[in-house]
Amino acid sequence: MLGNITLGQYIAGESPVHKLNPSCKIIAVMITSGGILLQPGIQGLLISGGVVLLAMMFAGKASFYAFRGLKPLLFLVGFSFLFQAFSIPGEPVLTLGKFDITKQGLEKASLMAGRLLYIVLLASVLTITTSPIALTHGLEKILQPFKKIGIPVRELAVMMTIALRFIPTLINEADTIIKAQRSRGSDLTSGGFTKRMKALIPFIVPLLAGSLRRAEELAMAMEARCYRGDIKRTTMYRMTVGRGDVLAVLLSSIFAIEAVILRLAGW
Amino acid sequence: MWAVEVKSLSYIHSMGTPFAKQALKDVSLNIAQGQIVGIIGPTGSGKSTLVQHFNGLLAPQKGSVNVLGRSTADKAVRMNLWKEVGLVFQYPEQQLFEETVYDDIAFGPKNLGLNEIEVKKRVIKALDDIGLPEEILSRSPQSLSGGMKRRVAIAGILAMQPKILVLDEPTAGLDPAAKSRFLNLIRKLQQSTGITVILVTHSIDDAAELAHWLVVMDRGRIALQGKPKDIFKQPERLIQIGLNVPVEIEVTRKLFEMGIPVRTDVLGLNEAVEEIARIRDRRKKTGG
Repeated sequence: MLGNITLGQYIAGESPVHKLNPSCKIIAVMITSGGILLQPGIQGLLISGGVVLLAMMFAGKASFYAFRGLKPLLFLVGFSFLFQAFSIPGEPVLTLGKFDITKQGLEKASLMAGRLLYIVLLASVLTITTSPIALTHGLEKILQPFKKIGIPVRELAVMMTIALRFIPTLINEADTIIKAQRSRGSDLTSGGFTKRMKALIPFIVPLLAGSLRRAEELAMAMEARCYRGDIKRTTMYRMTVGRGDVLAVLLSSIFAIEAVILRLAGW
Repeated sequence: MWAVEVKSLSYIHSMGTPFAKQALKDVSLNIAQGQIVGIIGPTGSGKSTLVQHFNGLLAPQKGSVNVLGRSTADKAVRMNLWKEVGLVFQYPEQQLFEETVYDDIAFGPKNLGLNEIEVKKRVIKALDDIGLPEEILSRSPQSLSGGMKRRVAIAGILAMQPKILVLDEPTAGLDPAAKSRFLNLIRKLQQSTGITVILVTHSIDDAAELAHWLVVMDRGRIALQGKPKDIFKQPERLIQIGLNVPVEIEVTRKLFEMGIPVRTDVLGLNEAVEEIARIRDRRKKTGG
C-alpha cells in the first residue's frame, strides 16, 4: 500500500556521474545552480539547458526519471508563468479582455520557469545518482570547516545516516501494520473527525512501539561495538578526488563564471 | 465451491517504477474448503503476496481470484472480505495496541458490529481455543511474554470466526516446544470448527506436520502442488528450489537406500519412529 513511496530516488548505476565523489558532485550542483540563476536572457536559458542536458547525458538512462520529479512542480510553475506573463507591463503581444500578455512579461516568465525547472532537474539528477548515505558523507565533508565553531558535524551526519537507514524499514513496518489492522476491520475512511482520529490509534501505537524497540536495539548494538561519538574514525570506502571530479567542478565553475561576467558586462 | 480459486494470477510490485518487481507469475490454484493447505517456498517466492490476494488487501492485476465464490476484482467484495478471511501476519504480536488483552482481542469482533454480549462470548471462546487462561484478559498485552503475545494476536483474528484462516509464518521465532504446541492447536481448531486453514511457511517440517495439501512456490510461480507424501517423493526438486526435505523423509529414504525395507512415505516424526521401530521389531523376531 505504501509501496509507491520511494525514499530519495536513488537508482543504482555505473555512469560517470554515479561514480563522482559525492562532495564534488554536491559542490558542482550548487555552483551550476548559481550559474543557472545568474545566466542572463533567453540565450542564457538555452546555454543552461545545454548544461543540464549534458549532465543528464553523462548520468545515463536513470536520469530520465528526473522528469518524474517535475510533475508536482508543473502546477506551480505554470501558475507563476501565467501570472508573470500577464502582470509585467510592456509591449502587448496578445490581449485577452482587459489583460495583456506582454513581450517583456513572456520573457521574464520563461526565464523564471526555465530556471526553476532546470534547478529541480539538476537536483533530481543528484539524488538519483547518489545514494542517501553517500549524500550524507558528501555533506559531512563539505561541512567539515564548521566543526571549528563547535557544530557537531560528525554526530549530525551519523544521525542523518541512521534516520535515512530506518525510513525504508519503518515504511515496511507501517505497511504491514496497516494491512494487519485492515484485516481486523480498521476503517480510516468513514466517520467524523474524532472518529477518524481515534481510528488512527491502532496504527500509531504499534508503529511507535516498533520504533522505540528498534532504537533501543540499535543503541545496544552500537554500544556493544564500543561506538563513541566524535573520535577519529576511518570509513570503509575512502572518497578520493579523481579526474572526473575535478572536471565536473571545473566545468560548472566555468559556466558560473561566464554567467557572472555576462552580468557584469551589463547584459 | 472452492474456498479460494486463483486463475493465472500475476502481480508486479511498484509497477511502472524502476523498482518494479514481479512477485507472481501466472499462478493458478484451487483450495478446497475445510482443509489445511500449506503454501511453502523460500523467502521472496511470492507466498505473502499471494495470500494477500485472499482477503482483498491486494487486487489482482492480471488473472482472477475468487474467494468463497466471489471475485475480488470487485472493490465492494474486497472491502468486506476481512469479515470472512482472517489473515494473521508475520510477528502479529507487533500489532497489539490496546491497553488490555480483552480490548485487543475484541477489536475485530467490535468492528464486525457485534453486540457487547456476543463480543465477550467470542473473546472468551477465542482465548480458550488458543489455550490461554482467562486471568490475562485484564492485563496489558505488553506485559506478556513473546509467545503469549503472539497467541493473543492470533486470538484477535479467531474471535472474528473467519471461514478461512490464513497464517503467515506463524511459528517464526518460537522455540521448538511452543512451535509444536502451536501446530497442534491449529490442527485441533481446524478439526473442531472445520474451517479452511492456509499455512504460509518456509519450514517444510511445519507444513508436513499439518497440511492435507501442499503448494510449493518458487520465484513467483507454482513449482509443485499435491498431497504431502507425493511432494516429498521429489526431494531433488525441493532442494533445487532451496527448501529442505523433512527429517523423517530423509532418514527413511537413507535407510531404504541401505536396503532396509522401511516405508518412505511417512508423515511426521511420530510415524517415522513407529515405522522404524516396526521394522526393527520384525527383524528381531526373524533374527535378521
